[in-house]
Amino acid sequence: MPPSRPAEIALPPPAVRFPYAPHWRAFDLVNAAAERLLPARLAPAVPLVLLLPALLLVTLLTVGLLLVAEQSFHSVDPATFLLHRDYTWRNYRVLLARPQYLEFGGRALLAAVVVAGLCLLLGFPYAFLLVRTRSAALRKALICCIFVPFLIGPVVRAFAWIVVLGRTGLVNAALRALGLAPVELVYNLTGVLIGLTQLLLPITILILVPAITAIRREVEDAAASLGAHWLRVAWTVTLPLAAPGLGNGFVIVWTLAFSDMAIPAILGGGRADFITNIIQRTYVEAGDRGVGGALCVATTLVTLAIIGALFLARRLGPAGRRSGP
Amino acid sequence: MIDRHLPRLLLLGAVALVTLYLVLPSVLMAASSFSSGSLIGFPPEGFSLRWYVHLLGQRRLGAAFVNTLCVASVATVASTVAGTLAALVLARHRMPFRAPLELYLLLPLIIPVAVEAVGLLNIFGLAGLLGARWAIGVAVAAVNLPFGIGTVSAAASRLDPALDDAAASCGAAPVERFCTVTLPAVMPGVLAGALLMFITSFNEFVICSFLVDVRTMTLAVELYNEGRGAQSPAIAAVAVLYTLVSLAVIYLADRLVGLEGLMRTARG
Repeated sequence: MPPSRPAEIALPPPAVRFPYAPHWRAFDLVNAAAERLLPARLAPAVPLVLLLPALLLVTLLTVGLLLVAEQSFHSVDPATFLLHRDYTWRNYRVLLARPQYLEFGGRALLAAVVVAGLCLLLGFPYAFLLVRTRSAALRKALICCIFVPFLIGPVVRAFAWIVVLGRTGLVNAALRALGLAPVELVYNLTGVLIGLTQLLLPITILILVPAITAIRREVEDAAASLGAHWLRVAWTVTLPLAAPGLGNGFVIVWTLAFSDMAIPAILGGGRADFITNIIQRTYVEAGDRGVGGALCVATTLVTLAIIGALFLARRLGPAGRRSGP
Repeated sequence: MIDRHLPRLLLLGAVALVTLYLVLPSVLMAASSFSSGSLIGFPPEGFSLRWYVHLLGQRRLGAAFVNTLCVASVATVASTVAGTLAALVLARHRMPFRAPLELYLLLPLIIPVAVEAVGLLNIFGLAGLLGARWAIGVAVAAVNLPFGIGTVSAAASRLDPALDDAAASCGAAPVERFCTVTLPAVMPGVLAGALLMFITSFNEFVICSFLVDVRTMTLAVELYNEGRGAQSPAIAAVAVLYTLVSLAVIYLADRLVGLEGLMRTARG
């Protein structure tokens, strides 16, 4: 309801002159303009209008996905790189026929699972200390140590790992000093796993911190006071209570690891390509929009299926039934 | 006595190892950047600032830096505006189809980044926007939108609806209420989110590697291309500069919302 004007009553002149501030005047203009643009009777539509920018941005992505899906049903003329006009399942048959696509996809899938598991394993103690420590200085230092790598970006971090793990790097220099044989830790899957885990650790810790914060310290103390060994407290009290956060973390880290491109490209040295690298190679470098499009569609469907399955598993599992979404 | 302290010692030990894992590459990178040799390696040969000097003359890197600044600025503005509005609406208004809309806004996280990049390549190609830096900025904003929404929704959910009602009862119109009550209340979250968005967009690699060409090369892609061959300490020098910028951002964020507030914001 618009503010109502005061009734015209004969009042004695005010003792103090009240100046009408300029920003009030400005706001009167703005309010009048807004009232004209979006009259009060259209007020229920306002939330939708405010959501529009975000919705438009996401629609950009969905339209792109639909375009790619449409392209996946046409085959590419190898001479002109143009799409044939007829619809065909050929690209999908190619996908199923060539075993290397399955190999790359499977590698990415399993690698992402390993990375997610490692991140949770390494991130949980870190997050636990961060939440439970009583020293504000230590907490600040721990947060700094998370954020600095987080803000550096994947490309620089991948190169930094080459400094540590490469043939002329720290690890091999130490091994050589000890008289041991050098180890190949980069330009293969091992390097990719190491690099990806370090890349995604900060996000894991950021997700685990609220979950651990929600566990009341008194519960652990109560278990300990009943005579439980600290390991038993951790296994039977802390971990189950942190399970929703662990589940969330697993899903998010898995998704990010599966769709990563920079680390497999740099640290994998061509020997540990993920499905995203293959998409880039097929669609852009080889120019095969048909098979590349089919790869995109297949990857999206697989990601959707796995995220959906993980989500459902959390909802239907013991923790899900107790704690809800 | 040692048994009583064992859990704490184990925890500290584990965290120390994880911290080393997180921090070691950056430290070694910094050490390599001061090397006087011409290859990255350990131990670094000698001490010299020549690679930092070398960077000053690199016009390609300088152009890439400027491009990345443009892209990151556009992306930050777009995703902060869209994300703030969306987060506020979703937190405060009861609207139909709310759950499907929230799920729709999570799509950028679900669709793999490479697939999104390919789709955007198609759209921009059809619209003739390949080679426009602002378009790349919009693309990056779309891909990172869930983070933009998440960072503000934490602050938005803590917003007291009574404040808005109180302002309305004092006679403030909707737009005025938004500008003087709602926005200032969520401003720390919005600013921290904008900072994080800027850095994330600055480091965006996948989208840029699909969408850039020689005119609009961004820093991450340029580094990737240069690093494919022999890695000279010049890359280490760039990495160190990156780290310094990150430290500056953390310091800024600490002054704005405090590091713990930033942590709460970052996970959304």
